[in-house]
Amino acid sequence: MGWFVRRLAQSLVMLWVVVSLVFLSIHFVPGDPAELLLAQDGGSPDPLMVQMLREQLGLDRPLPEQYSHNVMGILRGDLGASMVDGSSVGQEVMRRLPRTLELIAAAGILSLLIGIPAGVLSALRPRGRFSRGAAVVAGTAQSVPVFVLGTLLVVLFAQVLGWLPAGGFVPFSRDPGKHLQLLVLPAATIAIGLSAIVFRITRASMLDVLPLDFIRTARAKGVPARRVIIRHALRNALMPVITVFALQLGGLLAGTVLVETVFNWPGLSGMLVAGVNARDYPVVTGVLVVVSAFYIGLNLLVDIIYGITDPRVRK
Amino acid sequence: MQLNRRNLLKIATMSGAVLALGGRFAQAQGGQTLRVGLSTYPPHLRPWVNVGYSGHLLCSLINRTLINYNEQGQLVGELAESWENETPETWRFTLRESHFHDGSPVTAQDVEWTFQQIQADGSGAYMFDALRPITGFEVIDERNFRLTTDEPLATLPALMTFPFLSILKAGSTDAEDQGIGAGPYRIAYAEKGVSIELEPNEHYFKPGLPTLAGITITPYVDESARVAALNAGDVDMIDYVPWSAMAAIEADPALALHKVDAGAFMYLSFNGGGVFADPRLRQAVAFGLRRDEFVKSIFFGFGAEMTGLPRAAGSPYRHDDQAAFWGYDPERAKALLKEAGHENGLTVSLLSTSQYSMHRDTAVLVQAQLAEIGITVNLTMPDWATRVNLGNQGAGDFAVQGIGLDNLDPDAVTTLVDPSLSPTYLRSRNFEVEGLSEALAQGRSEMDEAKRVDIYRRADQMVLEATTFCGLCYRATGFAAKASVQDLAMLPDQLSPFSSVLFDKLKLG
Repeated sequence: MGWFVRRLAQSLVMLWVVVSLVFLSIHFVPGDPAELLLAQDGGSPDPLMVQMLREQLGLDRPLPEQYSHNVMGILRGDLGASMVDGSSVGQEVMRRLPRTLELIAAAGILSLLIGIPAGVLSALRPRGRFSRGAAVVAGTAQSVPVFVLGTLLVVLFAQVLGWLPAGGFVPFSRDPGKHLQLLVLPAATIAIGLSAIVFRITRASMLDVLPLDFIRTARAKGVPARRVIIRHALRNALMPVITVFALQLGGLLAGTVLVETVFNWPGLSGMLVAGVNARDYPVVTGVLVVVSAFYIGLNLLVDIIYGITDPRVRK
Repeated sequence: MQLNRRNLLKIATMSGAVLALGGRFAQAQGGQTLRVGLSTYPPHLRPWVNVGYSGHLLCSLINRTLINYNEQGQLVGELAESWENETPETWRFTLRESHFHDGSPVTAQDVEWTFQQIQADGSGAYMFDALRPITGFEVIDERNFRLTTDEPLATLPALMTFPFLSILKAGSTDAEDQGIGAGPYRIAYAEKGVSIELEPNEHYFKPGLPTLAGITITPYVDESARVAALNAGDVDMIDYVPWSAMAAIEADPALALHKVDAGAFMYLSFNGGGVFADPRLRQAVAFGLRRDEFVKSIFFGFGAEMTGLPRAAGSPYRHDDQAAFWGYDPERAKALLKEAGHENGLTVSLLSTSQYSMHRDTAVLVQAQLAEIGITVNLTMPDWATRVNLGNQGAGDFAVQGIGLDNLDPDAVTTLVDPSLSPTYLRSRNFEVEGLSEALAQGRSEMDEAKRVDIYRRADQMVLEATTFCGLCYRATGFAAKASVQDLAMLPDQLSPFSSVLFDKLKLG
């Protein structure tokens, strides 16, 4: 129990450090939200109006006061209001987070469906045509930037073939069919690169597992080949795949900026970029706090699971 | 059904077919609802606050101003039926019979309330400064009111056309939401960052308008995504057409490009706190630039050289000699440098931004061309937010600027050319031109058109000779639409980005 409390305390300290770093870094970057708000498309902000707006937004207060206000708000679960439109940052994050998670989940599932079977097949005949061809395809998929890949998919499937929309978002509740159509291309764009990683890790891991004694034993006992591969080899080879896959997915939470931009998907990354461009401090802090809390929470969960399954970790 | 490989393949194939057919079906359902791809989702729906060109498009679809410009650039009544200058300091307006979205009539009291909201301290309204000269508002009756200004103000009718001076129903908003307007459409559904759906206002004052069953606005922030959406048939029309795509759109018979070459423009402003306190050096810069290259290389030929001040073609305020003042003349530029004591060269810093390609590329081209006459330019190009901040602090010897004017009155350029105004990132600073502010003030208060023409000719000459503003080039602005979109009219010159005030007539063929 003491170990668990210590880990929890560590996580809270980490979160506080993140909040402080984010707050300080965004406030020390040049750029004034009040000036930007008044300078839309060539607006010429009068210094007096800038000053009035700064007072309205509380930007004229000393930095320590702004910091404590910020931290106290987060402790109360209040991420503040956007300086641009006054909307609740917490509500906006909660509206956008599921969209990004949906995109990542769809891409993740698609990449597993492609990467694992390809990796297994490739490991069974490592010098075969399929293996060599798949390695070339995986290398290409990994090296093509997502915005290039996304643009190519738009040109092919939206402009040339006309099968799918070029981009956009419709809530599932308003039009489920259209929602799924719009999900296909951005999810596929992420999935193509991700499946290449899954393929490589699965292949390497399977190549490590296949020569091991227990596989040979299973085969010697007459277990059918498919069962040996799936139940015995793949099951044991999946651990590194899951680890790498989880890390990749975690990175995507705030890293889908380009895909969200190309496909006009209104997720969390777009909100973060708009927040940084407008120097909308509460938005930037809010998004990063949520993303960090997500990571730290996941880490804590993994540590707890390790602690339960392996008592040595707790010592 | 048994879950085996064959059945999984069947399901996958059928799902693909359904999605693909769904896509085609969705495209076929255009109907009479216009689908617009907008360059950005308006940051908010607060009235009277500048939310940029895209925000203005929405604003002008749901709201109306008192006066407007027509396609020829002439002032025409919108909610105001007529207006007259009773005395030099008073203007009488008569409202036409019109109604807000809820069916209630637009009255003089609504106009008074709107002005009060804008003029309130801390309103943050775009017109807060511009309406300062208005010191009195008198409601004569339901449809007539009188405005009093602190001094004669010839620009007042033009002020009433300003974007973000929409007349809203009294008390309909606490300035946090859009309130009740009198535009051709009203908002039926809006999800931030996703889409806005508009439905027709059955009380709109123009007979037979609007004709569309509705408008769906979807933001496409990335310009390539916006063009792709138009090409793919996801939308019927887009704003802010990228210059790189204009030629292809023009060549596509299924699409139409609606553009104005002299839309917005690029220019340089100077900081008189350094070497550019000397007007000869500012002139040297102005004469040392080949402006045709800016149009060709940055705007793909969709624009025009700017060798004078931004005066609209055909305007009585435009004079040929002044419009061609800054021709490319490297010998003269070098002579001016020598005269100013810099015959061995000069090193200056140029402030721009790397965030927008037109600003970045303009800075790079200025650097390259000025090197030819002996001026070494060091570039400072942070992101836009930092650039605005540095500009307001007075950083850099000179700066790249891009803007469009928001009305056609000759006084509209004042904010860009008079360095004695309060210092902002948009104009030259730290020096003055003797007599310029007085001439511009005289132009604002003069009611006689012929006299105004003379006054602004004199003021423009001062600006050109002192080079408080260095024009580079106009850049085309426009909309692209499917050929089926009809009656898409454009306002002239720098007003073209605000053409959405004419979109109440849009039809789908």
